[in-house]
Amino acid sequence: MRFRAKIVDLACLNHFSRVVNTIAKLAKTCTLRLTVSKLYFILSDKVLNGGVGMWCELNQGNFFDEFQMEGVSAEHNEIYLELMPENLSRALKTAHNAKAVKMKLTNKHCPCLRVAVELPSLSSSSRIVTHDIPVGVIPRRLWNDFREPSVPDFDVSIYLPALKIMKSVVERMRNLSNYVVIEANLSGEMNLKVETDLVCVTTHFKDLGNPSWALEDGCQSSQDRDPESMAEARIDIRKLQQLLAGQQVNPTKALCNIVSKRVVHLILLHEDVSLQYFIPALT
Amino acid sequence: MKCVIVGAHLRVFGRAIHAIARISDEFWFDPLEKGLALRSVNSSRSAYAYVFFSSMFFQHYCWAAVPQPHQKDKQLSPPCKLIIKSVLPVFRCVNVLERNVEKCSIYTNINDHHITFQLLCKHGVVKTYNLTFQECDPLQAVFAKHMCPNVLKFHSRLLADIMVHFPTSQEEVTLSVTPMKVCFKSYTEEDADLSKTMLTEIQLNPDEFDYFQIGVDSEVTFCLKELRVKDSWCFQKPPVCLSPSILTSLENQLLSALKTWCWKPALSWLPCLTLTRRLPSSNHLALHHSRKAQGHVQGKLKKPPWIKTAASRQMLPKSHRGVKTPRAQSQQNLGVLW
Repeated sequence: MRFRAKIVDLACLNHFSRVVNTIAKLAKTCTLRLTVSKLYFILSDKVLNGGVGMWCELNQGNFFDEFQMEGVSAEHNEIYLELMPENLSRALKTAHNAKAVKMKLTNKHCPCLRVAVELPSLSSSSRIVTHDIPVGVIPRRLWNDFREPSVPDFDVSIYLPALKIMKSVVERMRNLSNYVVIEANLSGEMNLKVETDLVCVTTHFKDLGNPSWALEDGCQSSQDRDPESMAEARIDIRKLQQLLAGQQVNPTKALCNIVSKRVVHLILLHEDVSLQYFIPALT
Repeated sequence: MKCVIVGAHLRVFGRAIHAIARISDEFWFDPLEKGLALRSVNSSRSAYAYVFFSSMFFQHYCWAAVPQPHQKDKQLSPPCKLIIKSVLPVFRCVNVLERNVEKCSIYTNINDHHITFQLLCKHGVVKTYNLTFQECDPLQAVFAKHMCPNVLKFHSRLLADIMVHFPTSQEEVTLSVTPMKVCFKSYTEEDADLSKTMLTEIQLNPDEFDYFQIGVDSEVTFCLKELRVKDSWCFQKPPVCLSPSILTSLENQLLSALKTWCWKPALSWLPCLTLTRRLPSSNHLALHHSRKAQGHVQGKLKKPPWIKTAASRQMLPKSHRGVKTPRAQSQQNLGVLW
């Protein structure tokens, strides 16, 4: 098992830092899956049992100038590592003017991801800051736990409003209650509702647009659904706020799939990276 | 003793007090012939601060030896110990101090056991603080500075750049020096779980230092918090002097605004150091390490580093070997550390 990667371009480095920062805000521990062409940050924390799930996919070519990976074996040319993204985020935090950042998988006392940041200095040779981030190697037999979640059979799919606005609305609502109801319909309308004993607050968003999804067998989805009828799900507002407040991906597209009373599936899409976040609905 | 501080120096003095406040709850106020010394040591005896303001720092500095009946040969006024909490309010809002305060006068009255801080502020307002002090034994960290085989001098900007890479929760850092490179790395206990801790290491080239002299390859572990306190005080970015006898002394040469004179406050920070009282009758504090540090410098106290660095201990000249048993010490003798 070998892994070596290098980032030289500052813009790519900052972008990668931002993605890692987003992941760090969402999960304390997560799985990093490395393949020849992509990196994945996965959190598959018991979605069926009520935990959130996260799937973040990056194209390695868009970030790394050098990327060499040799998996556990020839047929299974992948590496699965468990790590704390906060550590990686911290290692990259002081690297904004770095000449180069190198990452390597090592196994001195224990398996580590060694991040070496080469910083410019006044002297002739650079300053090198090395961070050893402890990782856990996930054995092959557990890889099935980390499969890509399939897009759920949603009732409504809708584009999200501007994330900044949504974030400030959700932040205010958080003060009122721990739960928020998200509802949307196929006419581009979305409501965020908070109900307490004393007050009920609803924010209405209009003209959001609904993405069209082509199903595998070629048909359009949900054609027989009444466009005005709302699909709703009641979720923990803190999970939603974590994503909106912590995200630094700045996606070009952000959308939301709602399976009525089951799960809210949020997707943030960017040219180089895609982030999917599953929040289960509560009764 | 009477002295007067004006202008930008008010801010410097105030900042020194604030920096010392982060080390300990009390400090020694020691007027000397050549200037005013402020000293402090933290409760776990792992950090010692010494700030010296030469008489040229003050607009006016007047010190007179007061003959004490019980000290026939030495005509020095004994140092006074003050509680930091009582002095801090005098220098509150350090940044705007010079805007509101025109002059600060400090008088000591030995017989009355009082120190008076008088601030002459704008619009004719005069604030007077009368503080009682405790007479006490002098405090002096004993180290043979000139005998340190290793000396590093560098800009405090470099120190700030180094410390930013360590997490704020990092308590201790090991500095290892060889003639070829200098390395700061995070320190973990022997029994720490390495599979859970992130370790950071920074390697620097000797060229980054203004002065680099390494006689002996050594490794020293010290408390990062105490070094951070020093850094917060260094607003003038003066050069820092570091040697693995863990002496950090810093000399600030302020030339810019003060064209009429130049002054040199020297600030010494000595983490993890042996302290020895001068008076012969008392016990040595020698190696005082407690695992549960009290006072507001938190964290486990490291065993003094010379215990760890067996290699460097062997290579040091004999006079630097450790003091193993308490012994009486004359006042002239500086004492030895290792």
